[in-house]
Amino acid sequence: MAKTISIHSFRGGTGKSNITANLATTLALRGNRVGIVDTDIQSPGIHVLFGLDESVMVRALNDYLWGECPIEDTAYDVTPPVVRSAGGSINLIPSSLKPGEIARVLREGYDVSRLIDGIRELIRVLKLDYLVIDTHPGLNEETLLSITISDVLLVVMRPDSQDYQGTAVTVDLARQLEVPRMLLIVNKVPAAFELEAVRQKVMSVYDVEVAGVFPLSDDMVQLASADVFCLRHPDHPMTALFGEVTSKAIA
Amino acid sequence: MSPPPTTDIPAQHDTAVAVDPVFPTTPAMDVDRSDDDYFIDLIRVEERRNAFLTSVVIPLGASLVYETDFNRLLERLLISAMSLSSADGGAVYLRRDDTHLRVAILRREGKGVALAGTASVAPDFGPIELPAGSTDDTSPAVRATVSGETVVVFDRQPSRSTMNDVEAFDDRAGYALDTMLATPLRDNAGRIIGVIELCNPRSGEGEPIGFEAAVVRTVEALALLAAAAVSSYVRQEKLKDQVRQLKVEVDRAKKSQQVDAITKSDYFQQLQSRAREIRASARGVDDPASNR
Repeated sequence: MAKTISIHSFRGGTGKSNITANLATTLALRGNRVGIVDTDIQSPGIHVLFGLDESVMVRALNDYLWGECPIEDTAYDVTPPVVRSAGGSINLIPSSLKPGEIARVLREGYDVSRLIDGIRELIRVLKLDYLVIDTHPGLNEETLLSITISDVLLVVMRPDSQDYQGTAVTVDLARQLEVPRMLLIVNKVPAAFELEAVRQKVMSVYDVEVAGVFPLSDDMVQLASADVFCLRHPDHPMTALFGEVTSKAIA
Repeated sequence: MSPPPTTDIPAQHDTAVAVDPVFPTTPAMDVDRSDDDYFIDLIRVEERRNAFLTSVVIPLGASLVYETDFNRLLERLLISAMSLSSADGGAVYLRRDDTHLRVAILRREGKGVALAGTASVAPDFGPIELPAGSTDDTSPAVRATVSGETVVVFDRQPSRSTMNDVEAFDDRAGYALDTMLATPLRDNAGRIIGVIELCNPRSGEGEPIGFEAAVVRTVEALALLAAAAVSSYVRQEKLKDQVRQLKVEVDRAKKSQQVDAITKSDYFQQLQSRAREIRASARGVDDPASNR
């Protein structure tokens, strides 16, 4: 039974795409077939981490929804060699080539069911074990829809006052949409903070389990978008942390 | 033994002088050698000490700045200082606050004692008080911290009634202290942040020796260089000590308003009423209750 995981953050710059890429890769390294829906191909994001250039992506989920192509055409295989050897795969599916297209689909009267059918078809055709949705930051219609169709919601935040309020709203809405499993990830924590203390504090404020607290990492900053961190640094403590977060997410 | 010297005085900047990783000791006077020859020996030793300073001590001190693990840093510092001074024992104390030192690492080679650094056992000593008044009958580490100067003490025998925790530890272990040397560690503002204390220098044959003036100067040089590395860690420790609390402020009333603004929309209502059905449908499962 395929599981759908949405990864969301209230603001941009939380490192969500990075976490998404590492989470998906960790799953794939365990021999799973993973699909990643990239909702934000206009900005540098997930596709850059997997070395996929925008010019190569000519079809998106949206085109399938408008009946312009079969679903297989919207998926781009970005499986790194080491993942393939582990028996896993990663397919990247851009949700739309132009911003706001999916929302347009919804607003122009198309039933939510149509998108749902599309997701289901995607899972079936690609034989996915996991579908990971890298949502757009902020609480727009697409995000709410992603949350609604997901089995797991991971909300990424930074220990930054601008994130706190928005994350509280997100958590509240997600509860009202009855997400079966919701976890928080605190990312880019400065060295002055003790990680366990951060975890306890966030957990008590939001009353949500914290899957992981990631320190601000020089190694991560240096790698930037050049590669997926857990592939480049398989023995790094951060990679072990990604492993823990992944296990908690799919538990 | 170095080869017999020529009658020429060697050039000041002769970089071909070989560097001995062991601190060059002062040659003993030999009745069979002339005064001139001895004088030349002394000059050669000074040269070798300068070379030791530039090729061994300075690079070591500088490299400590790049040491990323504080425990390894302390250990490297202490072991280097003990090695070049032939000390059997040593400790590094860090200044906890204005009135106390704490033991950060301790070694007593003769008794096989290794506390902290990369050793798995941590020292369990209480903080060591820095007296406001007289430092008579306090340990060399305390005296060096209070005076800000290097202290060399012969035949240290602390009285039982005023022993600090480290001295009590040595006493229980049967470790007799003889000659001791303590030199302060300063940060770049000149404040004393700690002290290195060395004890019981021994010759290669295990005989008690002293701390020569040249050795003392070299340990001071090492302390100076190490201070930069140590002070940055001490600063970080202080930051953590202040227990920087994460303040997460959520305006609950405002949150409710923001949530309501979204939940009242038709779109949201539609999603909410069909959430379970939507979720099951997306997975391709007929009965959502059969999930997991």
